[in-house]
Amino acid sequence: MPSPQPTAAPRGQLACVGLGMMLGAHLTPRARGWIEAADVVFVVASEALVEQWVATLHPRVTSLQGLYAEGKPRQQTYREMAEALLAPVRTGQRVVGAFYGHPGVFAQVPHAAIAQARLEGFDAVMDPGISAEDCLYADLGLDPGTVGCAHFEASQLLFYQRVIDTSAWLVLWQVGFAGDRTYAVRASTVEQRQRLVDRLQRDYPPDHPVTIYEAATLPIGSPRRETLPLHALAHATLHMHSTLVVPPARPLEPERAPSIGASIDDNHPDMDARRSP
Amino acid sequence: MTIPLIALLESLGRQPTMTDFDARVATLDVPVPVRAALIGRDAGALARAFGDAPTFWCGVFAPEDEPRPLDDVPGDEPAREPDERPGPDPAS
Repeated sequence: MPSPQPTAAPRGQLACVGLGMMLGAHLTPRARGWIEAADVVFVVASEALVEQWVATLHPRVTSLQGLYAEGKPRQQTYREMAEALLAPVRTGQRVVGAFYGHPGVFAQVPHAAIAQARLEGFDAVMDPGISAEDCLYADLGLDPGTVGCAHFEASQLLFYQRVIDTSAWLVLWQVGFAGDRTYAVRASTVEQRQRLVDRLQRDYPPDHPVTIYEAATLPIGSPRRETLPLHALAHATLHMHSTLVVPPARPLEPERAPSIGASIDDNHPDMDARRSP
Repeated sequence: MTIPLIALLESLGRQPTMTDFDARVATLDVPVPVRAALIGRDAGALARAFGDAPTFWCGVFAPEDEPRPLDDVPGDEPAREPDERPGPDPAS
């Protein structure tokens, strides 16, 4: 009598999904499907209420928010979060990491955990969510297609040589802790923010209007849209989720190099219609 | 009290044109500050009712994996003591 075939061990799997920015409003049907089918769900959300909402979607939800701590290096927190996601994958469980916004936008943990899971031979996927950037375009009526839009992490403008195109929109993320090098605090100092103002004033006039933006995270709330002159930014109220939006300071300039301009004009299918009579 | 509240918020999130929100709030068994926050559409007060400590938000800082050294930021050098300042050029 043949011996029974050994039962295949359950195959671990990781899915990192986005919750969107607003409780109840932005969760995609696909992300909900991942959550409902999971063996265990880990969550990092923007509000305690949002985490409690996710806990209503699945019986085994664990918050990773407790791994953060004031004064604790962020990179250590992120490594611990990735390991928390991977440990049950290695025991054959279907794991979901549910992150506010988009799991792949300004979020190191999902990228790192998915890469490591794949390295170890597990299936791992990322499913997109509505990010703060998406909300920003809607709430500020900004179309990045008009004159272009550059996005930078705010501290990178201080730590690296970056070139700003002032004819395009400029969006600076994590402006609330711009200039902090410890990665362990919730907010940078006025002096650190002043360095950001000084950096921006290399390209923009001091009275150039800038807008502090914060997406709404609860459906009874409204987005923050506060416009002020650039020179006043260092003393403005900024949070970890504040984003700075800088409008263009000059119009687009026509391409002067004949070879480049001519080739674009000659090859563009709509060029005849666009030429002035 | 949390689950009915979250269910109501989820409904409002999916139905922004909800017309009976205040009436549904009135049926909730919630503390007075929570009710006031809901009626006043005060998201900050509602969030604070569920904890004073603000949550951390994920962050991405730099292309490299580890924090940079503390002495690599231009313009961030410690101020010199007066006796460290260079004296007049002896050749002048």
